[in-house]
Amino acid sequence: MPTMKLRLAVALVMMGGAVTGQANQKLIELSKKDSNWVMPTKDYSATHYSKLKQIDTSNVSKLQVAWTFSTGVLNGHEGGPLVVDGLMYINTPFPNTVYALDLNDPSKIVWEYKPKQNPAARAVACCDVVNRGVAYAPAEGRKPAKIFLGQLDGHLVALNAKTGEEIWKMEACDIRVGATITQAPFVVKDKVLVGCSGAELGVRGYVTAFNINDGKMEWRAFATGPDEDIRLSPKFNEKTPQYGRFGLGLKTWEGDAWKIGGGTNWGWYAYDPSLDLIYYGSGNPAPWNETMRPGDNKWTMTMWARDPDDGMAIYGYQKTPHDEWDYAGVNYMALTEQTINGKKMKLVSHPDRNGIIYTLNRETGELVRADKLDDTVNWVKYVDLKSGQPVRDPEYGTRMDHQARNICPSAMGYHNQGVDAYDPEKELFFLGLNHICMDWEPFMLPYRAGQFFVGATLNMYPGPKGVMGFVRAYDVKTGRFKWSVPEKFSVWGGTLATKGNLVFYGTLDGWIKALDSRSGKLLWKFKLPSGVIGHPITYEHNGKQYVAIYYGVGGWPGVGLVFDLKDPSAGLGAVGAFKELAHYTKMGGGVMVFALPDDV
Amino acid sequence: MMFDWWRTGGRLSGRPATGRGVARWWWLVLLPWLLLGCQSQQAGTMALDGPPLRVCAGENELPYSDREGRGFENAIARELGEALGRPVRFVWWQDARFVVRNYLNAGKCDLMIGVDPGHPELTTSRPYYRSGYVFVTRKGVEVSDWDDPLLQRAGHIAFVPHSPAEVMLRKIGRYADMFFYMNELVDFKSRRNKYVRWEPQRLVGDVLSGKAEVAVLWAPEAARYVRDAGGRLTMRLIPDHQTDRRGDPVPQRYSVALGVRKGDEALRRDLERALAARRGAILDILKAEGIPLLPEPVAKR
Repeated sequence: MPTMKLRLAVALVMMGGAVTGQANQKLIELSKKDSNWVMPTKDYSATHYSKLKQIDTSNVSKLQVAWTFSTGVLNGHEGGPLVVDGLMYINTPFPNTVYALDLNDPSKIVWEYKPKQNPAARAVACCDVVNRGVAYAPAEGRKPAKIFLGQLDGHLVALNAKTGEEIWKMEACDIRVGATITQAPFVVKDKVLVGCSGAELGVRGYVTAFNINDGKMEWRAFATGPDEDIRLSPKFNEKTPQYGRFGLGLKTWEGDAWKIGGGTNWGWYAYDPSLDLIYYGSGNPAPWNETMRPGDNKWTMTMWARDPDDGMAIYGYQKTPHDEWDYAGVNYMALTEQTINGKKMKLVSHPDRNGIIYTLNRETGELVRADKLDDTVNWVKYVDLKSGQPVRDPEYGTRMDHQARNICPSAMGYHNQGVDAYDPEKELFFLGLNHICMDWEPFMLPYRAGQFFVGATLNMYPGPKGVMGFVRAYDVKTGRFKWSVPEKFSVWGGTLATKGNLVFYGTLDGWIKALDSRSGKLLWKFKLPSGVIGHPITYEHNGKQYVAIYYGVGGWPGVGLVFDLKDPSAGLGAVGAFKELAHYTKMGGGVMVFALPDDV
Repeated sequence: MMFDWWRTGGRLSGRPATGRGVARWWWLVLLPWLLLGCQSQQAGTMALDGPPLRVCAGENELPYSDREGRGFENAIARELGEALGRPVRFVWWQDARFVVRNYLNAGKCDLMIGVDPGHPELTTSRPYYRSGYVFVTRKGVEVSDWDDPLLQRAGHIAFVPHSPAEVMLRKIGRYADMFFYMNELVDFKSRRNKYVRWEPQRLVGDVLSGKAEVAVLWAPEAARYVRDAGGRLTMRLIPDHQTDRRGDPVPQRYSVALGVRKGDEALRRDLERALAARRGAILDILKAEGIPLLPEPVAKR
C-alpha cells in the first residue's frame, strides 16, 4: 500500500506546511535584513552577499578592530558566527562550545553551552575536529527561537536561542561506526537537516530531517543502496534520464559494498522556496582505494535536489562516477537567476573539489555549464554537457598498478568546504580556490604471507602556477574569469561580497583581506592572531556595519600544525603541502570584528 | 598485474596450493630438520667479530619483532648472526609501507627476516618455513572451513584487512557486516596515507573475551597468543581449497623466506648457509612459538 501511505504522508505534510510555513517565512525575512546573518550561507540561495555598503572601496582601508573574543579552543575554526536580532552566536571545534554575545555589550557572554561528548569522537575525526557552524530557527507562537548544534560525537542538539538551555538532543550519526558531525545543520520549514562525516571509514552517507520542535526524525535519505533508502521520487531524473534512474544504488556496486560505500554529506545546503527543493552534494565513495569498489558507485558524488517535506529526490547528477581521487562532492550550492544563451534560468552552481564548477538548471537538473576552475585540471579533459560524463585522462588515474605524477587537483580539490559569495548585481561569483596537485604512489608490503596490504601514499604540493590559492571572479554566463588574484596559501574558508564593491576573505597564514570586487585590487589587509579556514560575515548594529571572522588555523590544511605532524605524507598528504605554513602562523581560536572609526 | 590481487582472489605470487592433509604435516617437516639439527648445534657459538648484520625490524610488530627483541623474528635474526659470526644490529622501522624503499634500498639495513619468496622487489632465500591461515576459536567451538554455518551467524569475526580472510569474508557475504568491527579493532584509525597495524594480540584477545566468535589470522601471528591462553583457545588450519567469488583460488598457505636487497647475492648465499646450519634452532624457535609448520610443496614439472 505504498500509494496510500504516500497520500497520507502528503496530506499530513500539507497540513503541517500550513502551520510551519510561517517559521520558514520568518527565517527568509530575517535573512533579507542585512543587519542579520542568520545562516552560515547568509540566505537560502547561499549568496554570501550583503547589501550593506557603509564600508566601501573608498573607506575600507580605514577599517579597524572593533572588538575581539577568544573561544578558548585551539583547533581549526571553520564556518562563521551568526548574527540574529542583536545576538551573535559563535561555534567552536570540538568540544563544540556555543557562545551567545550581546552586540550591545560584546564584552560579556550572555550564555554558553558546553556539550558533554563521547571523547572517542576526537580520535575518529579524519582531519582535525572542525565544526562548520550552528543553525537558527525563529520563535513561533510559544515555541522559542532555537540554535541547532551538530556535535562531533554525532548528536544534534536544539538550544533555546535566548538562554542556551537544551531543548532536545538526538543521535543523528553513530560514533560507534565512525560517523561524526562536522556540518552546520540547516533549517527548512519545520525541519532541521544534518548529515554525517566519515566516508573515510566507510560510513554510508545520509541526510536526516528532524522536527525542529521535538527532534522527531521525519525522514532519512541515503546516498547508496535500494531506491527506497535513497528516497527516489517516481519522477527521479525523468527530465535527465542520461544521469541514470532506478536501481543504481545497488547495481553500480559489487555485492553489498554499497553498505559501506560512503557518500556522506558534510558540506552545505541551499533551498529554493519557490520550487520547494533543497540542494546539497553527497561525498566520496568508500573505501578510498578505488580498485576495491568497481562500478560507478552511485549515488556518491552527486548533486541532489530533494523535496524537504519528505526527502524524495527529484533529480541527482553524479559528477565523478567511480571517484579515484577523493573529490568529495559536498561543496556549497549557490542558487542564482541568470540569462544564459538568451534564456533566463534558475540555476544552481557548485564549485566541486574535482576542479570543475558545475551549473545546472535547478528546476530540471539539466547540465548548463561545466568549467574548469583552473586550466591545470587534468584528471578530466572536459565534461560532456549532454551526457554529463567526465571524459577522463587515464594518465592521471589512480590505479594500483600506476604511479601517477602531477594529478591536478589533489585530493583536497581546487575548491574545498569554503562558502563563496555571489554578487547578484555584477552577476559574478568570487571563488576562493586551492591550487594544489599530487603524486600518487601505490605501495605493497613484501611480507606477512598472503596479506597484501595494498595502499597508496599521496604527496601534495603547490600546483604548476607556483602558489597554493587564488581568488577569482567567475562569470557563469561566459564561463570566464573576470579577474584572478594569487594567494600564497589556499583560500580555504570562502568569501564575502558586499554592495560596497568589496570582497572579503581570510587566508591560511592569517590575513583578512578586502579586494575591490570589480578589479580584484587589494584595498585592505590585517594580520589575525592565527590562520583562517572559516568565512567572513558582515552585519549592522546600531547603524554601524561590522565585518566578523573566525581565526584558528587547522582543518585539513592545518592538520600538521594542530597535531604537530612532521611526516610530509601525514594528514592525508597535507603536511607536506603546507609545511611552509608553520613559518607564518600558529594555532589560535577566536573572533575578530572590524568596523570603521566613528569619524569616517 | 601484480597489484591486481582482488581479482586474482588475493594471490600475490600464484604459488600452487598443496598439502591438504592437516594432520600429516608435523613429521614431514620435523624429519629432515631433526636429522640436520645435530650438525647445526655443532656449529656452536663462534666469535661475533664480523661486521654487524643489519636487520630491518619493526619496533612494534609483535609477535614478529619489537624493540625489546621479544619477537620470534628477532630470535631468528640472532641465530643467523651467530651462524655468520656477525653481531646483529636491528635497524628499527615504525611504518611498514616503505621498508624496502626507505630502509633496505636506502642502505640502512640489509636483511628482512620474513618475506614472500620470490618477491619482485627483493632477492630472497629458499623458503625456511611454511604455515597457513587459521581459525581461532574458544575451546569447544569448532570452525573447520569457510562454509561453516557459525561464520554466517557470528556477530564478530576478527580479521586483518587485505588478507585472504577479507577475500573469503567478501565471498561468504559477511565483509560489509564486519566492516565497522574491523575499524573498531584499530580504534577507527583511517588507513589512508598511513600504516595502521591490526594487533594480533587484540584480535585473539577478542576471541578469548567472547567479543568475537572467531578470529581468522596467519598462524604465526596468532600462535603465541593462543599458546598463552593456556588451552582456552583452539587454532585450526584452514583447508587449502578456497576460491573467491569468481572461482579463482585463494591460497591459505604460504612459505616464508629471508629477503635481501635485489642482487645482493653474497649475503643471500651466506644466509642460505646460516639457515642450513641453524635449521634445528630456528625450528625450535618456531615450535616454541606454537606455529604449525607445513612441508614445502613439491615443485611441479
